[in-house]
Amino acid sequence: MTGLKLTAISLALAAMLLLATGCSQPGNASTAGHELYQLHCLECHEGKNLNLRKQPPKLNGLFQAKALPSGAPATDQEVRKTIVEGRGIMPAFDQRLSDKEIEDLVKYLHTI
Amino acid sequence: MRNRIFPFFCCALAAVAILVSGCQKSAKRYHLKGQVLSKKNATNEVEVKHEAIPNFMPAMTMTYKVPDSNAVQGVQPGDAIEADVVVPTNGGDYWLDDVVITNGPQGPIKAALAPRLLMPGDSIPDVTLTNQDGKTLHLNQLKGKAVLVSFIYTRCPQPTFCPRTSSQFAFIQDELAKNPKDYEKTHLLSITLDPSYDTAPVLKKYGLAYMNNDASGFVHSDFTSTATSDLSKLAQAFGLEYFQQDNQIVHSMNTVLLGPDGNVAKSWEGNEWKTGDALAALQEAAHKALAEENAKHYRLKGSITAVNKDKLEITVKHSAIAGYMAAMTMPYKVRDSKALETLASGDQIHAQLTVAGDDSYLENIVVDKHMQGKN
Repeated sequence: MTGLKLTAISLALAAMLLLATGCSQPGNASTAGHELYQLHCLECHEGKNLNLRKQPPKLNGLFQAKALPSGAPATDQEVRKTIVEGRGIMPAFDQRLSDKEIEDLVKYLHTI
Repeated sequence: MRNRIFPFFCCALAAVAILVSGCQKSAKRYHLKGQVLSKKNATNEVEVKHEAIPNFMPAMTMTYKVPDSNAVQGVQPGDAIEADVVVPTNGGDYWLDDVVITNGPQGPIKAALAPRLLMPGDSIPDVTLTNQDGKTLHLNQLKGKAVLVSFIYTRCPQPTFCPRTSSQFAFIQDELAKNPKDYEKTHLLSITLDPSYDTAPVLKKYGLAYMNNDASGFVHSDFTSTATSDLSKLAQAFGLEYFQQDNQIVHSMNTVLLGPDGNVAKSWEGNEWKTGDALAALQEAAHKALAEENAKHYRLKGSITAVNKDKLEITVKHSAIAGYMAAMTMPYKVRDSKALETLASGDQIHAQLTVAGDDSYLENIVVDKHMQGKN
């Protein structure tokens, strides 16, 4: 086995390890936030017609806009408040998500 | 070199494999216990009436895809099964995995799995409710109106459960408001399953969200809570199952129409009820309530020529009814079915004839003289 081949294999392994560990390390806000988003937000906010009184808005680019769909400024604080207290027909997630989970969720919402 | 590196490769690859497999959280699994009601081999589907699935779904009947066609062919209607409901986290459709038959066909689903079915005429206990304005409300106060009742809770996160029901109620409210008479003779009542969290202000905020922030809608629509002990009584009367788990309420659904007499007139189990059906039933009940209110009453005197207990009717040969009808012999409905037990052909009676819209019936029947030979 040549030195070049060994280097290539080592690099490949290192890359795989990096990918794998990046995937589900506990405490990785992006992954945790993504899972929370899929579990708690997606069903209402993916744009499907749910025959509700008001169609929940899509959340893509939430923080890129100047204001939230409600008209409130697109800040972490406002989004956190909306998650905890609910808004309009959106239910409150008060006592159902921990501060850490809300934090992870807000961080994830910045990435979509 | 090769011998020294090879074990390292194996260990590293194994570690990578473990880490990679550990991050495949693309679906969540929930354990289901229930009974197969029907199946479709062609589409790999089974219809299952199942118990509440903790943290996921209340007891209900649902059709599930089962990708394993052998499993579909292996089960028969009536089989008690256990399986995993696989819920893709990307929002895709649920499906069943690891289906195990725990018992062969046992006939109808066990009563323990099914909430009590409501029947027209069932009575509902008169509990004390507190509405969104903190005012006390008794179910009895709503007598004389057709009342559509549903159980919700404001933090319900399932869009096809409470949010959809409240949306349907809001639509019904809008439709009824188009006709003042219908609006006056109907009422919508939401009762929370989470009274400790859903205080009057919380319920008010919830109600306003569904009524486009128009508080005048509360005249026709109450969002209420009740004491935990009364809630349990009500749930039993309404054939509802619920329990609290991890700050969520797992519950079945029943939307119930109470007639103007306060008793059950109609009910729709689950969350598949149609807004138009409930609206039409409410309107029909409202028209009846209105007819009752404008009913006219006459005195009838005559003798019974026939008693038909199946039709709840008696045929009476009566004298002229002042202001309404000439003397004749004809059948009349009897409102109180118990009264029929004491009546016989040949009895001479007097009674009150009530005419409400297209409906007419006899009430307060008094026998003046029993037929010969009868005491």
